[in-house]
Amino acid sequence: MQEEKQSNSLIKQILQTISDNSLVPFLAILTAVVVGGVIIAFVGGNPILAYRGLIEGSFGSTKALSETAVWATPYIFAGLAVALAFKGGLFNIGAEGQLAVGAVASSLIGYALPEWLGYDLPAIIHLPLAVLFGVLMGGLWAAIVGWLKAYTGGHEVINTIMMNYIALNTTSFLLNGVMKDRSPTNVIARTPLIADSARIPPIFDGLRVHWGFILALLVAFGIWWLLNKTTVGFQIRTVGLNPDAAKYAGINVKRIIILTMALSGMLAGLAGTIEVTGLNYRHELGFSIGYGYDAIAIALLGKSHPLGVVLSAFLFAAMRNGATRMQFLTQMPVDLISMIQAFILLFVAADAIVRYIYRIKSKGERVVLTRGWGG
Amino acid sequence: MDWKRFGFIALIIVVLFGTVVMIGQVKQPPVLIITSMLATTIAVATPLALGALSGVYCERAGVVNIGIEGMMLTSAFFGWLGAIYMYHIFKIPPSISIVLGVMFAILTGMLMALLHAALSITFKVDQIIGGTVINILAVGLTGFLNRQLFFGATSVFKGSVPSSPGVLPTIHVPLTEIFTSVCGTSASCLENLAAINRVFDQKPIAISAILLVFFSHYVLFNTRWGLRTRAVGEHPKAADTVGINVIKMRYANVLIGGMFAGLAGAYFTIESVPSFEPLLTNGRGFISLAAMIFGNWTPIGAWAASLVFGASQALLINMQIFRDVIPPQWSFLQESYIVGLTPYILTMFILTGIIGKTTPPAADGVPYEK
Amino acid sequence: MKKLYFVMALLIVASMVLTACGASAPTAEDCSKEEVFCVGLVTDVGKINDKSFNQSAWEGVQKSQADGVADVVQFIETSDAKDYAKNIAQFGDAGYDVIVTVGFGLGEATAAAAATYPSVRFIGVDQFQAETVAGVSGLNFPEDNAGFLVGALAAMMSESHKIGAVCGTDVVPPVWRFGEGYKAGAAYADGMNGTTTEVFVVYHSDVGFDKTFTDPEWGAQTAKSMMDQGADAVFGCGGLTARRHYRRRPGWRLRHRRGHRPVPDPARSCFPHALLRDEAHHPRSCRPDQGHQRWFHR
Repeated sequence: MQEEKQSNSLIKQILQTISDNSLVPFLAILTAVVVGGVIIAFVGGNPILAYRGLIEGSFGSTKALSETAVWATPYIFAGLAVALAFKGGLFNIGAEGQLAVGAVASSLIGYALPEWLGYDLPAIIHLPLAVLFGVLMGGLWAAIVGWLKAYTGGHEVINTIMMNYIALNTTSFLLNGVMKDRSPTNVIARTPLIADSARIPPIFDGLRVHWGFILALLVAFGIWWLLNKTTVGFQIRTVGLNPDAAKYAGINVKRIIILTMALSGMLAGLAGTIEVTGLNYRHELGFSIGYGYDAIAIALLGKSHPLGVVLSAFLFAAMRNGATRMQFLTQMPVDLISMIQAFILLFVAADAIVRYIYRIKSKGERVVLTRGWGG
Repeated sequence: MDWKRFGFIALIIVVLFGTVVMIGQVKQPPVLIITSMLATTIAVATPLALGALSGVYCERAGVVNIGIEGMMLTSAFFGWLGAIYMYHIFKIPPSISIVLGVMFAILTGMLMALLHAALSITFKVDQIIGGTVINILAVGLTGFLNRQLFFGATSVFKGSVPSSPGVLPTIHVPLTEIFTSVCGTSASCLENLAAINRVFDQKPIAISAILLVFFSHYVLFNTRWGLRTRAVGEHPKAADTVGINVIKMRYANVLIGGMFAGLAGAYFTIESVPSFEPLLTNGRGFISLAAMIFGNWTPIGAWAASLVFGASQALLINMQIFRDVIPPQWSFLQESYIVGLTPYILTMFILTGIIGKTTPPAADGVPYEK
Repeated sequence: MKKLYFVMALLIVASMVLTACGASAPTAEDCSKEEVFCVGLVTDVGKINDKSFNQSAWEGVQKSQADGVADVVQFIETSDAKDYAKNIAQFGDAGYDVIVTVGFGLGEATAAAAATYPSVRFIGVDQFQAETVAGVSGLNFPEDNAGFLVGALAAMMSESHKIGAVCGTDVVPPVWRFGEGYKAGAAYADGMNGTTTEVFVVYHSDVGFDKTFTDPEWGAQTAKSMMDQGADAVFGCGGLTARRHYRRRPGWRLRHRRGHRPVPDPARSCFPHALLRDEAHHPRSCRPDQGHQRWFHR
């Protein structure tokens, strides 16, 4: 009975949040789209055709929808990773590196574990092992930064940037060396294909969208629950708002900083892991060009709220996915998408501009997302 | 001044250089190696130092700037584009178009900074967002224009990329000429002199970067302007009560920061190579962000940090040049991925082991509301 | 609220007016017809105007249109490796007759697409086939030969007997073949002339894979570093990284017109000429009046 009530209030709450917060963002996106259209027209393109392509390419068919979900999956995980760190007052620029570490780790388990053991594992053991190992490695990678921050004061922004480069170089090293696919036809720096037992099956036959997408939605809900319904979540948010106050309130700030970073890294690692186990079935150099940086924009666009992150991840995914169709129809450069994304972020963030254009009264509150460098 | 920090940085640079000299001396005389590495170090550090200065100005005034990368990229593009337009469309002589190109780059940096300032100061948007918008916008804008202007038969230049009017010239410091008499007839002395001279023969932006570092340090810590800037970044309320216009100060400093980022952008396309490629800044803006924090928000500290990156780059290049004379017990140095880790591991090591906690300006990232 | 509607109406009208100005070319729709011959091109992760293999391939496709072979030509730029199959399918579903896929990264996706679209002919640029795939013509290029020629040339031209090569990452086989060919060429020239030439080959492998081909600043610094140490001929073989190297009067600069993957093109068949001595004075052109011999027997 009580459970029902709780879920009822939860749905209510979500609906309330959507209706409260959707008008201005909707108008902001509309404005960005119009600005983008004007630019397309200005350079001699056809904006209607371009947007038709964008929408057809992202939502026009079941296949297109499936591809959008495929794109959204890593975006949701990585966006959540950055958003969670923001909630804890930390700025994780290192999602890119954590993602790569997670992908390498899970692909290693995916292809090498059966070889080491000498027999095939059942999927029910192998798949969770591969995913968990990737997640753990991603978490560990970020936890190092958290530990440095907590115990030496080394700034997490520098350290995550540095760890990004370290991760990418190490990945290149491994993929060209011990982990390289040795089959004679392969010339690329990539791992062998992972075993069938370590693969996440697709949800529907013939479409690429896999259960990892459902997992992403569940994890988003889980993060919301963690942040808002648990003591740890409360502690993370308190440390994020004011570490000094948190300290006086008896929270172990150092532990929470490490934990936040570790959780954030686990989410980013999950993004890489799911790409390997659910989509590519191997890790290849050159995969993940900029998810970690897009994730910052996604987290900011979603105002660090898990639901917001899911929605903005979807928006970004739809635009990236639809870009192909748009280019096919109009031969417009894909960079146009980046421009429109920047405008969307601009107008959503600077809602004063949007409110001014459409003459909407401000509620007079300002959401604090990040705390700058924290200090 | 934090001498411990600079001491360690100097030590690390010496170690990096020493490693290369030890390995490479069978092939090249040490003087040649050291001077060549020094020249590389200074050149590579230039955009990083300028980017870091951009951050220092913004953040000392209390505005977080993670958009350095985007500002650099946009100004690199528009500086180059401006130079090309001046040269090919307006038929201005190459030397003048290059200088105008630098002006365009600086102006572009300022415009991007104006966007950041308007978002962060006037609209009081979260300052990380302003920077992120600039970073994404820069990628889109430069990529889009690079395509529209230079690709396809209908583009301005009929589908070809016109040759740029060139790059800024190297400024020759006549050391060799002055000290020739010291050497007499010794050939090796003359050779060494020529090699040493090469370190001083830098290009204008590289030289001005070094001058600007010290100039900025003076401005920020010894002038009224600097005091006001820091006051606005540390305690805007107090600054306001003594009659400093917080908003104005912040705007001014962010715009100055934009100019520095613009100059850094000009380095890429007008000083180093006369061409633009999408994403050519390759994350150097983020490295300069790290250098800024590393230098504890001081210009000289940030420059020292940039030099570590420059020296590491010189190490990487030379390790590959001397790859076949690396002794077998050091064979790990043949792996460029492993050597490539040097700057990043060093930075983390120095930061956590020696420097520890860095302190940003107290009001950094907090919009000012009366 | 009235004002709101007014502004929105204005924006919509504005976008419509602007649309009317835009040119519309309904072309791709006709490709399913038998008589319309369509060629589509899918790039590797990167841009169509990369001044390298994507662009060369696209120029070839455009030439087929100019020559009257193809009626419709289109390209799609891949922004992420997971889109390979989707991008090829975009053309396949639209009934294109020939699909060009550029880069070894698309090899598997191309082979898979060839099975899905048996009536479509595929051309895979730089795609090696262990077993012949029906419907796919793979194009491979002897980069080592080119590297060899440049290496021999450089070793013969060098007065300091120190020559260098600045390359993209050796992870990419063609780039590695360039580098090895370069070394072999220099050794060959040494054997012929009795000289000893030192060869510096530097790959930009110290950064992530996505950055290795788009870093002209690094290329310039590396080339300069080599010249500081006495190299007087530097070969650029690495996409955008090797573009427009450091210019210095006494230094010779050798480079490909199109980065690390030269695509055969009649206009460039006189390959050694493309190694122009000084671009400022001999702007990019093949100079038929200066035959191979002149360059090699200097």
